[in-house]
Amino acid sequence: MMVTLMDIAVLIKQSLDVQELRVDQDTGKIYIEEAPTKAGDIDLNAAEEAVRIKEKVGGKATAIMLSTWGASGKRLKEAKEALKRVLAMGLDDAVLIMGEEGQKADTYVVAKTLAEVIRDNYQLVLAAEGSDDNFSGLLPARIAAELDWPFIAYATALELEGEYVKVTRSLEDYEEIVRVKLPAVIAVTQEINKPRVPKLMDIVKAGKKPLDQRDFTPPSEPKIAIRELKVPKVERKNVIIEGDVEEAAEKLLQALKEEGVL
Amino acid sequence: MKVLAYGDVLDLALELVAAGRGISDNVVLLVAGDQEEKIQGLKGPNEVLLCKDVKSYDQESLVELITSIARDFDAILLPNDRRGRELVGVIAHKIGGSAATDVSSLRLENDVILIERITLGGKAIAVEELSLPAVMTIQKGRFKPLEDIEPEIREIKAPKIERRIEVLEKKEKPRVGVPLDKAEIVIAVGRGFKKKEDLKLAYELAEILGGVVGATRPLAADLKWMEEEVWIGISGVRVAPKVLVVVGASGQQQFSAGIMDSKIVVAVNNDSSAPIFEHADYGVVMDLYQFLPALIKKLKEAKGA
Amino acid sequence: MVDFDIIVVGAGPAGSVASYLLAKKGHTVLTIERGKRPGSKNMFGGRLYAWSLEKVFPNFWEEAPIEREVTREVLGLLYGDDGIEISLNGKPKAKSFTILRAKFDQWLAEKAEDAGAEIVSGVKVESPLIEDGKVKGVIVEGEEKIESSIVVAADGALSFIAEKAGLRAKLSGEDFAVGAKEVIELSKDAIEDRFRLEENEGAAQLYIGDITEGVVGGGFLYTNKDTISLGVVMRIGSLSEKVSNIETTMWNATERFKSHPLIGRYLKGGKLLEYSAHIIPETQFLRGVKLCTDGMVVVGDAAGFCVNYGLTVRGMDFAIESAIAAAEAIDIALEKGDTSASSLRRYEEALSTGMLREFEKAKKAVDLMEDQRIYTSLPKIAVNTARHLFHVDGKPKEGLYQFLRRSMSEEGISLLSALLLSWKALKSL
Repeated sequence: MMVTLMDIAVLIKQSLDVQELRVDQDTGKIYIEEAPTKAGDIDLNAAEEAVRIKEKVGGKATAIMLSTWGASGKRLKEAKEALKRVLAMGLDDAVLIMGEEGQKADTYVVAKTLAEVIRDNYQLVLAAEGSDDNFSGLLPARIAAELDWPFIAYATALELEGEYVKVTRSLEDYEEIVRVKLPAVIAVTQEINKPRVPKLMDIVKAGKKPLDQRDFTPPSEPKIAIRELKVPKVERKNVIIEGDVEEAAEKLLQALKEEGVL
Repeated sequence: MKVLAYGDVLDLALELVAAGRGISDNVVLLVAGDQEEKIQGLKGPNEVLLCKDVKSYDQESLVELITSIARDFDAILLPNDRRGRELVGVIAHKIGGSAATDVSSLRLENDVILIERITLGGKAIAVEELSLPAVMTIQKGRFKPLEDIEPEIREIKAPKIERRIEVLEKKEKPRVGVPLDKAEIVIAVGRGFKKKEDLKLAYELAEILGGVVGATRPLAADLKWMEEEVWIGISGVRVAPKVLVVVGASGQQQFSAGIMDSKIVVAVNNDSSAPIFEHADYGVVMDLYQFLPALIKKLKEAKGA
Repeated sequence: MVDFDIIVVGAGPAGSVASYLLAKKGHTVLTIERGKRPGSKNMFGGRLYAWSLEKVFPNFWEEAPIEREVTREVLGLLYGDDGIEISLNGKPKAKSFTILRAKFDQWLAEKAEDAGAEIVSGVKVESPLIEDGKVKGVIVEGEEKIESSIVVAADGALSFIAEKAGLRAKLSGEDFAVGAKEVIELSKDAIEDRFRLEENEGAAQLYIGDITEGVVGGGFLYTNKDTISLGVVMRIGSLSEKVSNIETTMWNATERFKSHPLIGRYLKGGKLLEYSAHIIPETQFLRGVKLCTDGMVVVGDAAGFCVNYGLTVRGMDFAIESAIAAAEAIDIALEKGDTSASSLRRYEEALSTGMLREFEKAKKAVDLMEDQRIYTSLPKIAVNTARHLFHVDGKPKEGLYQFLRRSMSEEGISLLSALLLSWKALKSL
């Protein structure tokens, strides 16, 4: 396959806005339905990287989202809003796959679905190393496996060299610079770039960019089922140490000694 | 039920073996690379598979090696570090298995593995049913290595692969002394420090207490005042010290989820409404620039005495 | 060529209603909201009198996310641990509702969006774009200029858009009251039981007394579906003389209000969901505001269309009414192709025959409310009198008249001024 222009698929997750998620420590209730959703934070880094590549070598970048929140009007609106955000940054168009069945879909099912959208149409897939709400990072890996494309995670720098892409991959104790022939799937970290803040008129125009909405039909059964969501319980003493600086220092050391930790 | 554990750091790999024992009497440890000497006398797994011709971290070869023997196993356990997390999705998909990361507990129930993992930015624990075969990464420090069984060691050959990822360069990152997640005393610093030089207060405190210094995300990743490796949080390092002293950090959810396993949490912040106080056993509502010197002085006096 | 016919700054009730009406007329409308989304900067509830919004959306309550229809009005006088409550029960002809702004504002904004307005959230407008002395659009963060024929300033009490366009002066503490609000979660059953309500019925309860420690103001309770909006309003002007830290003062007053036995009983077992203090504009401020200039009008709180009667704060219904009038004037101005101040003055004229009159009255009421004795002496005398009337200890009782005379002289109030005070207090409701 001769690739002249780069066509990039950017995976955008409709992630729960965990900052706004309310959790009741006493009753253990997690107010998921009430919490808003948005594009994942690191998804914006993936989108930014796609726009930068586009600015250098041309081509097209598509935001691809499979919403797993059902098909309610509220979640649809939020999904479109999330896509509008990255379109405003400079992606060209968007594919939104949504349906009631999405609620049961796991990364296996989502990867199978998205791989079919990507195959034959894109040469590079950019994704976040993890989503805001689940942070498993499984989806891009599974898509790579499904497409049988190489997968590189934890990318902190990217450079295109013809049919190759050079990636700095940051692991715990070392980083390596690797080169891989396209097509490939790359998951980026938040350090790779600073996502641009779109201009207001770009946001307005983003609403008019093509958005291809498709119904979701699961290609297979999921591999996992979520049985329950629990609130983690950590009991803290919440003692505020009073007094002036000297007294407080003294009291704190005393307390730590009594705890047997100093 | 048969479980395969793989980890290129042996200490961690033995934790995985212990995790696997919870769901199976037959746990096989896969060791890659030049580790023949290290595995002599090693205890815990029922069997050790040694593959000398795959380097300790070579993603493509490992994926191929593990998937080639995967059909013999119902579950594959990997460490929850970046290596493990990069492998888990690819291997799971290639063998048509379920997958999970950040697993903190697991047990067998009928024909599924029931796991717990932290999710929703640390606000919830998900209980998930994984169908078999299952591939998962296990959180560090959750399982105590067992030393009961003396395993057979068997050498295996790596399958041939067609390499697609070429490593051009490899750079060690600077080491940061005792790893944060193993430290018994941790000082965590946040945006309350006005300039980088002021962090010396935290280092001084750490030195007296015999602890190490970690940081919130803005300090490590954005301001780059410190190494990225010392960034504490749900997506950074999760700490579990005896004492954690949080200085000048507001206690964002992201950060707080990474300190849940600390035994005692002390918070120093001049804003009494900072959420960190909800996550603290002892709170000091004071300017860190006044309180830390006083605390250091007291500790020095106590040492001198 | 302008980018939009109209730019509306702020997607609160006034901004969204103006956006809706103008988009429906076929104009291109851009609504810029500073918060993450409409309503997100307003976590709390309030009371909405239906009369103005009804003109835009008849029977809106059947569709809008309202909490409860107010059927129970309570006035309370608190003194020490005791208190008197006077209640009026029944369905009034003119409806009013308790609402939670986060939901309600979003609903209104969606209405505007459905009508064709373009709503962009999370963007801050830095200033109006002024050329040749005329407002020609806005400048948003990042120094981006967006042009429009008309700008509608609906950016709330602290409107710096109006200020920068020279429509209002810089504000001082005198122009504001401070409100502290909490949302407390309580089961639907507990709310209906404790406030004696049927399903979907709501209570609006106002209290004066020593909770504000002599400062002009009072406390309120509104019932929502499964939460209670509670708070204290205090006049900044009278506050700033007495206290240095307004935040602490507000917090303390709220705590005093909540822990009063009479109030605590309503809240028992409830869980605090939100707390915040915010600023409420006062009518006096209207004296200095101009409602339009070339290419721009000011609506809602931004124009000071908010009356603090001392006990009740009314803003949303006025804000909506002003938005309706503004939209009409703008539509005509655009039709004529004349967006000058004189062409837009129709907006002010439309208000002057109706709503502004209400404001004149309100101003007087507010002046009367400055009488601090309403917040101190009146509740004290009333509660003590009730104690005298109802409490029996077997000892001979002083006659009621003597008792009243003595209580009033202790407070330095004559009978006549006591009656006057009571009259003022009632008027201020």
